[in-house]
Amino acid sequence: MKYTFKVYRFNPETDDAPRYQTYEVDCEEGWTVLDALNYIKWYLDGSVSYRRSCRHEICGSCAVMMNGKNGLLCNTQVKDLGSKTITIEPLKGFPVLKDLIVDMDLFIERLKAVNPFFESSEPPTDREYYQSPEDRAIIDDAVNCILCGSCTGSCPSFWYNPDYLGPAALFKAFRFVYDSRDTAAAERLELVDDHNGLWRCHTIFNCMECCPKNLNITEGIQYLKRLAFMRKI
Amino acid sequence: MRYKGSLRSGGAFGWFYQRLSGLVLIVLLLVHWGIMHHGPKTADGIEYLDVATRLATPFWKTFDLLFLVLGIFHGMNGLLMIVRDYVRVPWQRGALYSIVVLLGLVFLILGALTVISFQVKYPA
Repeated sequence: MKYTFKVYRFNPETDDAPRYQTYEVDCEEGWTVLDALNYIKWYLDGSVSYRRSCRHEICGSCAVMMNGKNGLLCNTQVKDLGSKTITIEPLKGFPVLKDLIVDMDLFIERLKAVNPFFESSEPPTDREYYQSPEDRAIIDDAVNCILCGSCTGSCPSFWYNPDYLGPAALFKAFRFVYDSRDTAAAERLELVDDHNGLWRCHTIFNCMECCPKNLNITEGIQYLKRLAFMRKI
Repeated sequence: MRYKGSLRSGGAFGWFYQRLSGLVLIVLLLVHWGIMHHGPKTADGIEYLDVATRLATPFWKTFDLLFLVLGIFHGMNGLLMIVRDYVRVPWQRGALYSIVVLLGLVFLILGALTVISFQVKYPA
């Protein structure tokens, strides 16, 4: 079936302003948007730039905005977008390096700010740190985050204020604060209890609407807010 | 160490106040709406005497004061959040903070003066 792809094109080194280039592609049944973009790059226009790697919804490198909604190129079927014209744009809020490729440095910097690693004051033994299935269930969602940046790129609070930690970093903080084995919850809460941290989230729900892994990001952030408030009283 | 871009710690109480006052304001608004539109009236529409007689009693004075205080601070808190969201130049943010707080206080005093000192003036 024939589809029209409107692809965002911009090279900050040579172009004054971004433009949209249109390509007609005859898509086969079951094609993902990545398949269509690959077709464009391999057969129609080799200059189109985008990131992709695993094609299996696990590396998180192909997050873009398709018809106004963020998601992964590799797990979005062309027919599921529900229109004959599909607009593909880079994630909002990040500087564009070329076409659909954005600079993720800011994203990584915000992530590092919440100490996104396991910390335990208990000395290691010859056994693993035990966690009950019930305790693990609390962070099931958060552990599955693939750091694609769809959520942070969909957050209006982040668009207007890049100093905001963003949903991905806050969700990562939630993942460790609520990990029963981690003992650095207080320090982490101190880091996110900031006007540009937790309190910049206004529960807009864009993050969980677009999350390609269907994670309940907003709920995680709300849990953190509750905890941050409770420790002050 | 806080991260680069960190504004400052805080926001927890503002967040909680906004939720708590929002809930109370919903109840107050419903009572206000009920009494204004479906309460006892002397004429077809709402007249001065209907409102004035109510406002002269301690219960309604307290009710309206609570309405005023919660409403003003809820709105002020919301405006401060919007300023924090959109204004990133420190001096502009500071100036807008001051304006919002000042306006809030002026309206609070004006409202409180009206409610507390109000007395019914019966038509001659």
